[in-house]
Amino acid sequence: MNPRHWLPTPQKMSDAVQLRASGFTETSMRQSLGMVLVLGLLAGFIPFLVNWEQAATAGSALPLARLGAQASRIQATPLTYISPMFDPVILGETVQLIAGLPQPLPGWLAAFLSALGEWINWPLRWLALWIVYGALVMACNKALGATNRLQPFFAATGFAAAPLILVGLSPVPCLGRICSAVGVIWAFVVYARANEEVTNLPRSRSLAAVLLPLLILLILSLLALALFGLLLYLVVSAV
Amino acid sequence: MCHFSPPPKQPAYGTVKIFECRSVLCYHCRKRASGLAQASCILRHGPTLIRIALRVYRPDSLRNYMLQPQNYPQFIGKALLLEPDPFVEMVDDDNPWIEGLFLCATIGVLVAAAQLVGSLLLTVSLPHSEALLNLVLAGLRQSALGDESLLETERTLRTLWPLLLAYTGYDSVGFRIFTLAATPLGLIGQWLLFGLTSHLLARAAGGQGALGQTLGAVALSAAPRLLYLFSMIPFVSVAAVLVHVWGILIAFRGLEVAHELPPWPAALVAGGAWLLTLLVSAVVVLLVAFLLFLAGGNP
Repeated sequence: MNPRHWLPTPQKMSDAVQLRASGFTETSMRQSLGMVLVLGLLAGFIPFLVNWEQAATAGSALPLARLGAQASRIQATPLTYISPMFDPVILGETVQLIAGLPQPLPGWLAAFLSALGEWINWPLRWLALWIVYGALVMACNKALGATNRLQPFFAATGFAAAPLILVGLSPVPCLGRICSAVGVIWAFVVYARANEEVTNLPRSRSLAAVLLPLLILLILSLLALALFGLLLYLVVSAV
Repeated sequence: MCHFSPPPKQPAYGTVKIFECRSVLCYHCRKRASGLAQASCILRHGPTLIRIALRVYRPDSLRNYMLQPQNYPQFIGKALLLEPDPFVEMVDDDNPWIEGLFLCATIGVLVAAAQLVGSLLLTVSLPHSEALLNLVLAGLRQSALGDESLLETERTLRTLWPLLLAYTGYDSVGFRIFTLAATPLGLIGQWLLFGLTSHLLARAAGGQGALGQTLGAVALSAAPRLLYLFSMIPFVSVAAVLVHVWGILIAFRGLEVAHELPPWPAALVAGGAWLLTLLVSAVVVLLVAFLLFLAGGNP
């Protein structure tokens, strides 16, 4: 198993993040897949260490440690406007009690396993974004007149993962959020450039193909949120 | 040493030549690529051409009459990367539907075993579910709910709790043992349904493939489910949307090859077949839920 077959050269990655056309050619989908997975793992490493430390300090699995950390916030949340039946203080206490329940495994091991699971989720999320969003963009590309095929498209757009590695710095106070925002915007620009390069569409059409799925997803999310809110309101009213 | 095949006689084949080392020459633009995946000039002519060319020119020594399980990782890997080779091999196999059946069963067993291990690890990483439920109920009892509402809420929570546990794999090892058999069977059922609907739609769209070939090609769309192997690590969540969308992309490539369909009809057939499968699955789930409801919630 030759690593060169699974990863593009650093020069290619450098060219791609600098938006040079040469960065998006002569790369296979296999190399892009490898790049997305490896960069996802690298980006998730610092958050993994932070999560492990947080969970190990609490002596429980990560979700419970996070839940315990949120208890004081829950107590301060004005939930009473939803319904008078939710007492934030009781809710906070219950959450604290749940977070403090013992588990069969030693605390550090439960903490490690949960932090490891959370780490593996990083490349899986990036993979989902790459494939699912890519499929939608590809459909828009075709509708707007592109003639390219799936493999070169995925091979080129995988380079958007390169600047996204900055998101891995998110646990760093203050700087982390700025780095994350820069990483996301940079990744989007690289994605749009890769799409333009691989489809040979005019810039406006290429950009429209990249943005259309985002718009559709936004509208669908808002609709789903509104439906969920309506459902919650009806349930609370009924109770 | 490359084996130069004689130029094809039929005009449609005249644009491509496949060598023994699997490199490809396009007569149309005179480009030579080192592998099928790189042969974008030929891929533009459609995978049909490649399939026909492979079938005609592949030497007998390279013909794969029965896929071997040791080749599955490479075979599945290529399908995940949307390369045409595995579809060509599957479609040209002696019994593509048997290969598909074995592939789905293997993936199903592996995934179920991984989920069983994941369920065990998740259960020991979290507090006992009964203690958790009792704490939630105790919290509810302290809320300002009326007696009647409280009883109703508690009853609903107790009914939904086992379903929630079974869904998440938390404290439901018994259920996961049951899924060791149910997952492969469910996957095979889904594959058959997806394959049949794909075949009917592809035929309606002018496809040429046989049912066995469709089933074989579509079976590869189960490959992304191998991502669920990661669920043996607790708290790993594989997005269902990723598995389904990737599966549709693979089915799209498979239908292109098996039915010799152009890209747009193949995409519509793959998407339509998935929607139909989803609809039928939803109806089946609703029917089972209705039967459970009639039985008073006891299976």
